[in-house]
Amino acid sequence: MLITFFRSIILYIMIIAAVRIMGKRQIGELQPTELVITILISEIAAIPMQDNGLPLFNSIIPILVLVAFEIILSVINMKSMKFRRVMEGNSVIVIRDGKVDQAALKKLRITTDDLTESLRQKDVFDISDVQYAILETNGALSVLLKPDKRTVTTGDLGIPAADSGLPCAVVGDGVIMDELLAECGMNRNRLEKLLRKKNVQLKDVFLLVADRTGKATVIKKDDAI
Amino acid sequence: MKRLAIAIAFFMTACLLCVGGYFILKDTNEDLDNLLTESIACAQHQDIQGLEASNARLMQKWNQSELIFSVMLQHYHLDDFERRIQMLDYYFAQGNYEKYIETSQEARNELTHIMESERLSLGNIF
Repeated sequence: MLITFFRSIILYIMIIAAVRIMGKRQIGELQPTELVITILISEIAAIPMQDNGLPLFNSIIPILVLVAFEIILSVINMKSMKFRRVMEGNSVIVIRDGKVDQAALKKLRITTDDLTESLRQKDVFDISDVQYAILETNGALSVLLKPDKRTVTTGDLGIPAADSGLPCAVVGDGVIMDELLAECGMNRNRLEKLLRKKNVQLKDVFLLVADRTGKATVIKKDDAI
Repeated sequence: MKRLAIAIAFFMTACLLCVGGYFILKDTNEDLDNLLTESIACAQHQDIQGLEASNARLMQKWNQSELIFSVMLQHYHLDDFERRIQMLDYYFAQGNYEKYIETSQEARNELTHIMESERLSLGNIF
């Protein structure tokens, strides 16, 4: 059993390293080839975890090869439009100027149920509100509402909006994230002043989110309240 | 570019492990086969002293090679071979040279089968 324990740790580290090296994407944003590789890697790692009779190299070598090929293909993907079309296909407009392209839906083998479900997931409950709907290469549906159905912005109302920049979590669990301090225009001195102003100590901070305008949200740790 | 370099490094590592592993396995296999052949010849000629020395070298070589085999091969390939090697010592101690020869030959066949399974061929790939 100890053997299984150590093999599991080794394979776990390998999978995490492989996934980290392959890059950051949510599962829902993966291209079909990326999804296949991700599932393959986890299956390949699972088999020797359960079967001590299989050498670990039977997992390690396929994982190395798959990750290598995935990265090499993604680099070629970035350089070559033709290759990208072959590997990922094209996005398809399924609703154009408010009209459903039934031929496109038929070609993609998408039913009306699939279409309405995807629209509901985008908080669109009335198909007549949609001006354009595009089925992306990863299977997600992008929706552009008709102008009179879109959310009003400050720009539409002619109201000047202050640019607060990017709010950043500069303190997490009592630890200062130095790399994010600069991002939101802060430094340690300003952070310390802010903490004094809020009458809270660094070690008592669960989460501190700040932006360029100096606005900050502080959440204290439960045991510090 | 950094990621591409990592990808190429991974690919080269996998290639080196496979190619290097194959040749290490091949050499180990050949050494064991030669020692088995030597033992068979000694047993056939009833050369007890020669057989004792050859058997000792064979056991020593197997102890060194066991790790290599375990790391590279599926264990069900090894189980039969390992049992046969262990029986050789017993048969030698018993003076049962007929069974010694038979078991040695079976072990040689097993080694041949192991190398055939690892050889790069269309049959093995598919």
